[in-house]
Parts: sequence; C-alpha cells; structure tokens
Amino acid sequence: MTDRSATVAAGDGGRLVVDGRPVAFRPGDSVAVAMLREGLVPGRGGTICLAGDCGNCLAQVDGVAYVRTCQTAARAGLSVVGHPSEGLPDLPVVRATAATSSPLAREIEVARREVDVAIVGGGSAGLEAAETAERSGRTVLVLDAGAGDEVVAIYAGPMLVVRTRAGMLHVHAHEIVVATGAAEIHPVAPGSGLRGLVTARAAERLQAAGVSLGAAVAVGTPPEGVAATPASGRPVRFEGKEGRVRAVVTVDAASGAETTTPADTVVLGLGCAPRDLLARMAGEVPLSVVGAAAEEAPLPPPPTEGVVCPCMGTTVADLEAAWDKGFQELELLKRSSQACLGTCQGGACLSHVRSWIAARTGEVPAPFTARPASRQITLAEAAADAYVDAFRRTPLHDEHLALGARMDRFGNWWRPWHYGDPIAEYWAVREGVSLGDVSTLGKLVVSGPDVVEALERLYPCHVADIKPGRSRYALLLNERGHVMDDGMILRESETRFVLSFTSGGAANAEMWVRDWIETWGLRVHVLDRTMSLGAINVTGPLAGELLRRAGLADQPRFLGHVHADIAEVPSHVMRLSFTGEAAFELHHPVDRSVELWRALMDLGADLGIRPHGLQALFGLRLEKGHVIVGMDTELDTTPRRIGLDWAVRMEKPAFIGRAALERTAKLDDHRRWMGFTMDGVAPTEGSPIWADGEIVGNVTGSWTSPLLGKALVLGWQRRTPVRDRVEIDGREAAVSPTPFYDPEGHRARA
Amino acid sequence: MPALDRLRGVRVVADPVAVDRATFHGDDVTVLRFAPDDAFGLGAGGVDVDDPDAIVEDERGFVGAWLDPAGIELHTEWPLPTERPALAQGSIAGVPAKLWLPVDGDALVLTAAAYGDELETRLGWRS
Amino acid sequence: MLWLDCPHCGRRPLDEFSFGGERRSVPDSITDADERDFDEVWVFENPDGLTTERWFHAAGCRRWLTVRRDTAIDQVVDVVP
Ligand SMILES: [Zn+2]
Repeated sequence: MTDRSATVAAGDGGRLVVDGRPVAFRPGDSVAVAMLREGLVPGRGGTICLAGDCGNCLAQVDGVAYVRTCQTAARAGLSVVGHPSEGLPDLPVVRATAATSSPLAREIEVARREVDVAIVGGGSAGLEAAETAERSGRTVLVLDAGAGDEVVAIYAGPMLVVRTRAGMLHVHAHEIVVATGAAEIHPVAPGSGLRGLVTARAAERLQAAGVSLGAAVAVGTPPEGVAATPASGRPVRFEGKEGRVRAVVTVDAASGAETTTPADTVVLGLGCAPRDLLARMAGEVPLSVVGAAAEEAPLPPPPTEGVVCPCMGTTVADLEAAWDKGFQELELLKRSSQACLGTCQGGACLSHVRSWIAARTGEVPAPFTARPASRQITLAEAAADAYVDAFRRTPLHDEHLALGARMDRFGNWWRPWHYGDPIAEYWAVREGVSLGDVSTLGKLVVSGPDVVEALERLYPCHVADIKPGRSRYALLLNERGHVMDDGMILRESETRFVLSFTSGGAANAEMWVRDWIETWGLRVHVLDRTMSLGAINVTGPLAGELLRRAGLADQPRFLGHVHADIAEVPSHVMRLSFTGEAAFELHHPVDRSVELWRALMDLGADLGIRPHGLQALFGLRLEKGHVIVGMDTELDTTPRRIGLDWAVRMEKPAFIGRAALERTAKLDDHRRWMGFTMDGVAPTEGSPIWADGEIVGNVTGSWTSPLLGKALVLGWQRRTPVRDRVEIDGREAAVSPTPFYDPEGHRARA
Repeated sequence: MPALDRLRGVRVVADPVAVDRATFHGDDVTVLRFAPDDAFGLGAGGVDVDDPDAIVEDERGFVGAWLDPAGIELHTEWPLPTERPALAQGSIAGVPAKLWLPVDGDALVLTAAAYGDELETRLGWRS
Repeated sequence: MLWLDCPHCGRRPLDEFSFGGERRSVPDSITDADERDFDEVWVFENPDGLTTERWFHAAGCRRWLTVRRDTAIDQVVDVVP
C-alpha cells in the first residue's frame, strides 16, 4: 500500500481534500479506497473491511464526524479530516434559532412508501426473495446499502427507516426480508490496531480497484485473485513500527510453534458472521432472514489477548474485569465493558464476545437485541420525521407585536410577556383600565339532558344550583383527589353550560370531560371552542366605564354573565376577576378580535388604557394569592394543601376524587402552600425556603409589589410544624395571610 | 404561494342521527364530518337539526386553502385516502390539520386559525 | 411506531394520540366509591398479554378510541370508537 505507482493523473476522477492536501481519485472510488491508493490509511488503524461493517475507517467528512469513508463515494472537493488520535472529534456548531420563533421545519426531506414486502439487501438472496414475492403479485421494494439505500432502523408497525441519497425514506411494509449477508471477522490479537491489516474481501476490492498491497501475507482463507504469501496457522500477534504493520506472527495449532512472516499488508480470511443486526431490532414484526445473514457460522476461537471491540477499545482484560464483577450475561457484559457499544454496534466484535462467553459457560449466548440506529446517523437525519411542538398564536398576535410586546411561550401558545413597561401595565389595572389577551383559556360548551348530572360528577362543587346567567369557580380533581385544573362553570340554560379551563390545562380537560361522559354513557354533547373564540379581559376600576362606552348598559354583577354586543362585536361577557379589580371577560368570534381590541383601545384612550402582559398579570394575581394550577401546584396537590377546601363540597354524595379525599383527609399532611412577605426585592421564583438551616420548601411565585412596597411570595412549606418565620434568599420572610391585597374582595365586586 | 384564508360556516354537535339528517342553509355548502356527532357546514349560514340540545355555533375558527393535494402528501406520515370524497384528519407537517378531498378538483387543507401561521411556515408558504 | 385505525380519521401513527391509560374495568366509580374504587385508582392490571386501553386522537378528531393491544408483542389487536 505504500506503492504510489498507481497514482492517477488529476482529472481522471478528481481530487478530494484529505487533512488539507489534495488526493486524486478514480471514478467509482470510495473515500477509503482513494486514500489507500495514495498510501494513506483511513481511520486510526485496525483492520479495514471496506464493507461498512466496522468503525475502523471513520473520519470527518464535509464537517460530519464518524462517517465511514469506505461507504462514502469520493467526490471532487470533498473535505476529509481524520479524527484526532486521542479523544473525540469536534461536533459541528449548531445554529441558534431566534428566541421568539419556532425552530423551522426539518431540513431533511422525508419520503414515504408503502409496500407489501421490503427487502433489505440487494445481493443474490435478496433478489431471489424479491422475485418470489413479485411472482406472487406483491409489491416489492429492494433496499440496498450499496445502491445508496441504507436501512438504519426497523420499528414495530413495521416501519423501516432508510437513509437515501435524497434524504430519509420511511417504508411501511407488511413483511420484511433481511438479506444483508455476512460480515468478515476481525482479528483480536496484540497489534490488531496497526495500519496495514485488511480483510480478504477488502483485499479483493483493492486489487480490483488497482490499489497495490505491497508485500501481502494472507492468514486464514486467502483472497481470490490477490497475490499474497500464505502464512499458516492462527494470527496471535501483529508486529509493527510507527503504527504500521511489519510482520504477522501465526501459531500452528498442532505444534504450538510460532512463525513470524514480514509483511506490508496482512490479509485476513478469518470467516464470517451473519450481518443480522436489523433482524434483531424489530421485535415481533413479520420478518424473515435469508441467505448468509441467516446462517449461524462457526464462531472465531475465544480471544485471549488484545482489543476485542475496536470502536470502544475494550480489551480481553476489560471483559475479564467486568465478568469478575458479576456481569456474566451478554447484555450485561456489553453494557459494563462497553464492547459492542460503538458505531458499528458489534459488527466487528460481537462474534468474539459470544465466543469468549461460550468458552467460560459452555453455552453460546444468543446475540443481543439491537436498537436503532444500526448505523451512525446525524441528528438532522434522526430528526427528519420529527417536528417540534407547534405553538399557537392568538388572533391578537400581530396586534401585540405592533404594540411592542415581548412574546414568550406558555402552554403551547405564544403570549405577550410584557409591552415594555410591566409596572405601568400593573398600575393601569390597579388604578385605571387595561386589556389582557386571554384567548388561550380553555372554553368547552356542554349541552344535553344529562348535563347537570355529568357536571355534578365531574366537579367537587355544587352545579345544580347555579342559575342561568350565573357562574362558579371550580376545581377539577382527578380520581386521586389531586388538583388537575381550575376554571369557571357558567350556566347558560337548564341544559347548556360553558366550562372554562386554564390555558395550559385546556387540552387535558377536554380529554377528561369527554372520557368520563363517554364512560358514564350520559347524554351530553361537547364542543371545544378554545380556538374558535377569542377572549379579551377588560379589567381595572374603570373597566365598567369603558364597557358602558362600548355599549354595555346593563352590566352583570360579580359572577354573572350575559350575551351582548360590545363595540358591535357579539360577545359573551363574563364578570369575574383574577386581577383583583373589576373584570369583564369578552369571549367573541375569533375573526373579530382585532376589531374589538382596537375599538376598546380607542374608547379607553382618555382613560389611560394600556394592555398588560403575563408578567403584570402574574404580579396582580399574586397580590390576590390566586393559585395557578401547574405553576404553584404539584402533581399530588390536594385542595386542602392550597387552601381551597372551600371549593370542595364533601356533603355531595359523589364526585370524582371524593373517595380519595375522604381517605387522605384522615392522614397527617405536612405540606402547605402559603403566602410570605419580606423586605426588599422579590426573591427568584423557585428559590429554596429555609428554616433552622434546612430547606423546608420553595418559592412558586414572587413579586415586588409596587402598591404594598414589599416583596410578596407564594410558596410551599413541606415540613411540620409549619414555621411562622423562614429565610429566603438570605433574608427573613414572615408567613402572611392571603390575599395580600383587598382581602374582602371589594374591588373585584365593585 | 398558497395562503390560508378564513373559513366561515356553521358548526353543529348533536346526536349522530340528527347530524346525518341536518340541513345546512346556503347555496354552496360543503359538510365536513369531523366525528359522528360533529359537523362543520362550510359556507353555511345556519342549520336545521332535530335535536333540542344540539350545539350550533357560527364557526370562524378555521383557516384553509384549496390546492393540489400532491404537495401535502410530502408532509404527512400517513398516506392520503384514495377514495373520494374523503375527509382526512391528522398531523400535517406536525400541525393538527384536516384535508378535504372532494370527488374531483382541488383539495381543501384546513387547520385551526391559531395554527395557521405555523402551518404556512412549515409547508414553505412563507419565509 | 404503532399505528391506530381511527374510525373517524384513518390510519394514523401513534404520536398523533394521547394515552388515556387502561380502560376502567368498573366504569362507574361514582356509584361505587369504596374499596373497589380505591383499587381502581391506585392499582393497574398491566397484564403481560391482552390489555384494553384508551387513546385520544389529539391531532385529529379529538375523540377517544378504545384499543385492544397485546403487550407481549406490542401489537394492536383492534380499535373500537
Ligand atoms: Zn381520529
């Protein structure tokens, strides 16, 4: 391989760039073959198979690390950079995406095919299987890695994931035939990591490509048509200099005599092992294995010394150490020793590890279950079928942007966090009038003869006594009595209600309501209006005045609701309050939101109207001590832990969660969610709460109240006895009753 | 580039038999049956439905575009239905969406307006 | 990936659906809120073999499907609305 006489003139095929220097290639060359032709050895050393079965020829190709150069066609200008001799290759720098937009759709196209039979491997066994299937009238797709269609995974379904030259391909097949042939066995012996070792078939390929092997010595079954001096016996050692092989030492099985044969290249014909990784990946799918991939070939002799797994560098001594720790099954030995965990997934070492175990136990272990991907793929290829979550936009999205809002993602929606001055937004609510976009709230219409029965079962509060035109705050509990969500129950008529839910909990609540109504077989229709209705919260002491100007003469009292035209937009007007001030929620057709929003902004201009974002809203609600389910609560939060026992009517004979609450009420409970006040600025949300040198809880919400002039905190104490004074952020904090602001609720009702 | 436009119509949720027999008002109404108890009368101005507890609402929550469905198939994990007419519902480019395939001519891709921008972006209709 | 035949929407990959757990064997925990209810809340069958599950077609019709699945081989046996 050091003979450069075969070097072709540039222009015959072209040149690629290897570690900064041009390397000519011939048409049909892989990168590995082109390098070998130039006397360069791809990879860090070890046996070269040229069949894609091992990890010994990896390099960084066009910026992508861990690429098998033997499976990569040489192309003019292709950049090849060797991996560092120690440590890991650099990973590419990932472009950051803008903070206020979703990452864009996938960069790699995914094509999809549906066939009766997918055949993996285009060799003679695969083609024979294809012919048989076609004759029986079935549609067939042959996927051959050599032709550029490399199957990298088989999933239940069954579905095959294929890397093609055009991108990724998902094949939905009714039946799979694995005809991937067999892979040649690598030697395990001291010196097996030297350069200048090739398998017999690789030698044949190099010969065919016109690459000289120099003085070649053949061990085991000799290659066909390649001039090589045979060395009899088993290879026990490779000797070399400066990383290159100089001689192979073989041992005669009968006499035990060692022979040293000098060589430029050692050609290894050590037999084959089935290339059946994909067949071991899919579990119970209709899959058959044919040809050499199905043949259980004899295992190599158990290795005694040297590197077993060239990818991970696992030695025979490492196997012994793991075995001695008790990892005496293939799956365990694999995980603990790291053998078979490299990029080739055991392609080079599995048969050696099995043989090594068999020598100790007397039983040949079955090969391990394979996991996708069978080949190294890039993150972009792996993500080619995956989209990030789609975040929704309210009908007022562009309006917010025009008003200078900083948008952020909450509960799968883009929402305005603030419009530049959250404190001014806060004061607009407390002292004037403000608009908030609450289009994201869940809105479910339920109607039917059994609707009251259904809601009485679903909710822990009374429902039957809510009069049409009135509403009630309600918790949604699961069967364990834990708080799932909260919202309002608004009655419209004897048989029709509107249910509202939190923005983040709406989708789950819809599922929950539908599931139970169906399970009970009750006659109730359900329509989710969350994305069909916009909602604007008009709040502040001047909210009533603004709505009078907008045409609402008869205003509902607190917890009442009416249908009325507001600035000529048909609206469902709900009188409730999360901010602590008078508030009217206007639910309206989603295509009229912008019109309604602008009309209200215009009508309120002389009242100092301004919109408020979530940051101000969170502060406003915090002063009122209102819980935000999912932010303040935990998965196992019962109503009593957050002081909402009053919303649970245990005198009701039955509702979801009642049985569990009855039981847990009798148990000691050491968790309470409560208010604290402290001087100075608000501590960071999530901060630990300390008492007597111990963490006793954490902050779930905090706000430096402009009105009260101190820091307000909502948070958990998870130890009893509950302390009156705690430490947060190195400062003293005192437990305080909530609401911090307007505890009698006069302002919300005004 | 195609663009998603607001769709107008009437939504009705009622007993499946009543939905089967519902009469939508309008000259050019396309009825999309989302589920046995749920239909969207695209282009309808009202509906007669024989169920006293039916939920009938003006529906403005969807946006859609008429187009050759071949371009959509690249963005669905599932094959498009071969029979016509058909309503397919599911993820298109990772966004919950629906595809109405009439007996002949262009198909209608539709999604909730809240997903409109995201879907247009993912289909490459906007930068 | 598994696929479910949604009777309203067509055959769809599982990631369009949300899991709703095992189908309750006692459908009405409201009228039977004692020991059985408690077991139902906290104890699951999780059989090695045939199980009945609820899956919600979140990206499609937004309706529940009842799915029978063989957990031993992770294959869907049938789907009923
Ligand atoms: Zn469906």
